[in-house]
Amino acid sequence: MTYEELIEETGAAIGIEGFAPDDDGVCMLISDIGEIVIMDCKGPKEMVLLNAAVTDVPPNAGAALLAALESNKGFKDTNGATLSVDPETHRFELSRYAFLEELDPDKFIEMVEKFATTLVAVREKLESAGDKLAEGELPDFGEYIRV
Amino acid sequence: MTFEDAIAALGEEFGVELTAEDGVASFEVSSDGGDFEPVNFTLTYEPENEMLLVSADAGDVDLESGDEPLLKMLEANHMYSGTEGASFCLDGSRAKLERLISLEAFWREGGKSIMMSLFRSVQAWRKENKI
Repeated sequence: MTYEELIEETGAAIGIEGFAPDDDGVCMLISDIGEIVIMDCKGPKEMVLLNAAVTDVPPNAGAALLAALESNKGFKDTNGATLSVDPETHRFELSRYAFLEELDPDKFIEMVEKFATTLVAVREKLESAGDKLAEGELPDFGEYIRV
Repeated sequence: MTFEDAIAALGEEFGVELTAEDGVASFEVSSDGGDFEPVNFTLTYEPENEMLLVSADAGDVDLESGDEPLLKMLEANHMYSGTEGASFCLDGSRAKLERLISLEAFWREGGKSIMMSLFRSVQAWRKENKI
């Protein structure tokens, strides 16, 4: 099965008629949880890559960076996906790939569903981690209260 | 192909005898000329989904030294640009580079080439972070 056939058959299976990649092999699934970009990666082994923006890296990034790296451990909290930071946009992203030859529409739909579930979970985790203050750090009160 | 068979075959590729016990195999990989610090690898087999977690120990991270090393690990993960398909993570203060791959694909792709791609990425990261 080619990448184009995989995308077309997957689209038909989930009710998106005419779902097809562009000339660069890229297509997108858009929902209320954000955009999941699907890419064809040619190479010694052809791979299908999923990528999505998670959330911005907060100004006091320490706790969120730690949470992201701990989530990657053993791929348990990410269902096989990987958390990263885009050095250009400075935001967390989630990615996952699979060899094309190991995929069929059913397996690909399962992969996308797990990826979407993980995206929601890690977004919540990283946004709440970003709210936590590092040990010993004072909160930004904005203004002080004179007593 | 069992996990034990795959580990024995991997040992043959490296020219050493490797064995697995209780679904885990651990060993050290070093460069021929001793130009690089050795890297400890742990391979853990997950029989429920026939997946193999390949984990390379990249070294200790000083978590008190600021965000820079953490950010560099996560940037290397971006589109797997600095990891050749693997992922940096933290286990306590230990930086690890890991790849989850089916046992069948590990066998098919050549275990040694997968291990050496992790070895290269770990060395590059250590050099950049002076570890």
